[in-house]
Formats: sequence, C-alpha cells, structure tokens
Amino acid sequence: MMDFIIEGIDVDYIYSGSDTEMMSDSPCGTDYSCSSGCNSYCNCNCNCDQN
Amino acid sequence: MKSFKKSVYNIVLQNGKNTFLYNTVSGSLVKLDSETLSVYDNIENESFDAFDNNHNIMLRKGFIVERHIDESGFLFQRTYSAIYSHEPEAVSYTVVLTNRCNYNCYYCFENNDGKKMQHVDSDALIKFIESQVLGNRRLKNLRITWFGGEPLLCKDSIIKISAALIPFLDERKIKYSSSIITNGYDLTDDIISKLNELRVSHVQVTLDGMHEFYSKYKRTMESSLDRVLLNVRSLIDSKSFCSIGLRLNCNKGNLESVFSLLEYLDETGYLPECEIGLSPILSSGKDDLNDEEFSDVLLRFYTFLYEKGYMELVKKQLKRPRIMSCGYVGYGSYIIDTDGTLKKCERHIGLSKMVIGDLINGKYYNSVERDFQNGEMEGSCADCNIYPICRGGCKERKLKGEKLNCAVQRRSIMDLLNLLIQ
Repeated sequence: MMDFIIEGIDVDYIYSGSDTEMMSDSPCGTDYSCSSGCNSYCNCNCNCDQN
Repeated sequence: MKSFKKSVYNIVLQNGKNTFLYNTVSGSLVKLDSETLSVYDNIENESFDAFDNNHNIMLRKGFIVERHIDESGFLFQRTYSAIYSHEPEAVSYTVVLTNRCNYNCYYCFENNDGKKMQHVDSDALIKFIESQVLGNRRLKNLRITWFGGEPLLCKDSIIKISAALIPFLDERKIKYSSSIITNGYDLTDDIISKLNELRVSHVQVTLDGMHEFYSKYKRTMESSLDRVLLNVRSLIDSKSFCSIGLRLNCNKGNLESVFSLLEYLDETGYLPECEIGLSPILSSGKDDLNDEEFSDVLLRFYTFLYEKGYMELVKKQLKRPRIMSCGYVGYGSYIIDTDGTLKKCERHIGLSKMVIGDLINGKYYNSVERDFQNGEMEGSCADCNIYPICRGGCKERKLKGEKLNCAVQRRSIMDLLNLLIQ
C-alpha cells in the first residue's frame, strides 16, 4: 500500500504528453502545475514560489 | 518480461520506522508500507510478466522506470523541444501595460525615476498576438500576465485587449487565461466584478509587512495597507473564480514585520483563503538576505504554516517540476514592454540592450535571445535528483555570472519534505 501525501502528476507526459498539459495553470507558462515560471530565488513577481 | 529500475529522481525519506518516497518529476510524495517498500527495494533484481496496483502506481508516478529508459535524456528532449519548437503548444506573454505606478517601492527593479511615462500600444499588441496565433498551427494555450508599473492604472487597456483576444482565441479553440500582478490599491469592486469576464484566473498582490514597513518600503501612506487588505477581502468574498496570491517581499529590515503580518493574516481569516509566499528583496543593499539566510527564513515560514495547521499551504510551498528553468526561455513567450519591444525576462524591462524584437517586426533572432536560451541544461545536473524542480536555476542570475547555490535549494526542499512527513 502507498498512501499519497501529495499525488503529483503522472509522468506519462514525458513520453507522450503535450506541452499544454504541462502548462495548464501557469501564469507565466512555465510549469504544468506551478503558477509561475521561475525558481524561488527569482524576483520576477510571477508567484512561482507560492504554488 | 519487463525489467525496472529506481528513478534517479527519487528522494527517500525516513521518519522513525516509516519510509517515504518523493519523486521530483511527478511531484508525488508517498508513504510506503513494509510490503511496498520491499517491492521497491528489490525492483532491480526481478523481472515481471504482470504487476499489481502498487507497481502501476510506482510506474505512473515515476518512482520506477523501465530499465532501458534514459530518464535525463527524456527530460532534456522535452526541454529542447519547448525551447526551440517554432510552434509551441503553449505561449505566455507578460504585458507591461505601463511604467507608471501609484507606489514607488524602493527596491523596484524597474526604477522609473525620470523616465518618460509610457503605455503599451493596445492595437499593436492585439495585432502582434493575433499574428503569432495565426502563425502557429499547434497552439492550444495562451496566457497573459498583466504587469506594470501598476497594471490597474490601465484597466481600460486590459478590457480592450481582452475583448479583442478572447473571441479571437475562442473561435480557434485556443484556451486563454490571464493573471495580474498588482499592488492591490485599485483592485476596486468594479474591476473585481469583471475578472471572470476578463478571464483573470489569478491575482497576485504584494505586501511588505505591517503598516510602518509597508509605508516605508512602498513609499506610500500607512493607510494604503488597510485599503489593499479591504480590496483583497472583497475579492475573497466575490464570486470570482480567480485564486489570490499574497507575495510577501522581505529582507533583514522588514522581516519581523512580515511575520507580524503573517500572524495578522492568520487571525483575520485571509489564510488559507489566499495562497501565500515569501520572496527575498534583491536590491543589492546591506539588508538583502543571502541564499543561506533566506533558507532560514523559509524554514521559519514553513514552520509557521505547519504549526497553524495550513497543510495545503505547506504543500504549495514545494516547488513543482517544470520543463524549463523559466517560462520565458521558451521560443514563443515574451515580456512585452511598454515601448512595444520584446524581452526575455522581467528584469529586462526598460533596458534597451536586452531587446530581442518588437511588436511590429517580430523577433530579431539576436544574441540576446540566444544567450538566454543557451546553457539550459548542464551535464553535471543531469542525474541530480532535484534537477526537475531546479532546472539549473534562474537564467538571469546565471547570465550575470552568479553560481547557483545547489546546497541551499536542496535544503529548502528537504526542510519542506521533512515537515510534510511529520
């Protein structure tokens, strides 16, 4: 048995998924689930380190 | 018969007798029972004709991969595809509507003192985006971030551009959404009531501490904070579908005030209604927090959220896997500056030497853009188990010659994971 603490995404996208599904909720279009595009040390205001 | 191996992007965690696995490609964190742990531990010693549900989940969430798979090779391939594809499926534009602002934050990287006030040309912008769409047969997703200056000083432009683009994109079945980064001062009821119609799905408001520091850092009146918080409350109470993010910028000077503000937001019910995040102020001043110091601040912040019981907010602090270090590394994504020039980083706003094109002529295909795309993947990162999250770090900082402090990145991830498995 595995108990999910965070479900995450299915990794099938690496082999067959589209870019769109990887970027669905991202304001700056970077990530498929994060709401921004840069890492926590960026100061670009795009909210990435909050999501 | 199929053979498997453990993913190189797994992080194994222990809390007492319990074992947890985190995979940085899927972002999945699981607790394993002893039977599943045994299967995982022995996965490389066996071959399978068929497997059970646990095997399927481990495969789907990336904890195990087929033995012949070159994981880093696939990740690199996807990244190259996103950077160099001339017809990306998703594009993103940050539109700098104006360089005017009703605040004057001392650390603002746009530093508009003495510069001519400019607003983006809405008609030229609409034509440019339409031409980009018509030239890209694969496009499925287009996103705009309204930025400034203060973008709400140009709300008529937001309305005009949205009114032109939304039907144009709907007709072509291209998904459109937008977000706005604002100080929140002009986030009044009339604009809140239009957010759904304008397809604004996320509003980010920046707060820098309680009244004294809010006023000092943003060079505005102390009462402005109350007005902004009331506006955010109105947005929470509205029927808008958009999420709200509060960004708390901090350095050594306002740190305690930022934590006082966090207490206030907790006591007054802004949490967990709003997403929340801390960011370091990078002003090259003596109060800047270095990477190690900011990691300490983050741990204090994560612990605050954890102790208040906001587990969903704690989870949201964990950075998600991504395909590029930054969305704007991608081929068709741009910052659109007020003068109609195209840039690759918000830090380049107002900088003429960082232009890579313009709304009339499109891209120049110059070295500024090539430099930004280069070096996205470094061999030494390939098998690092946090690479899918980190992706080599901020490209702008890299271009400036700053070395990524991998140990600090790793520490922040481990701090969060260790809280989540408590």
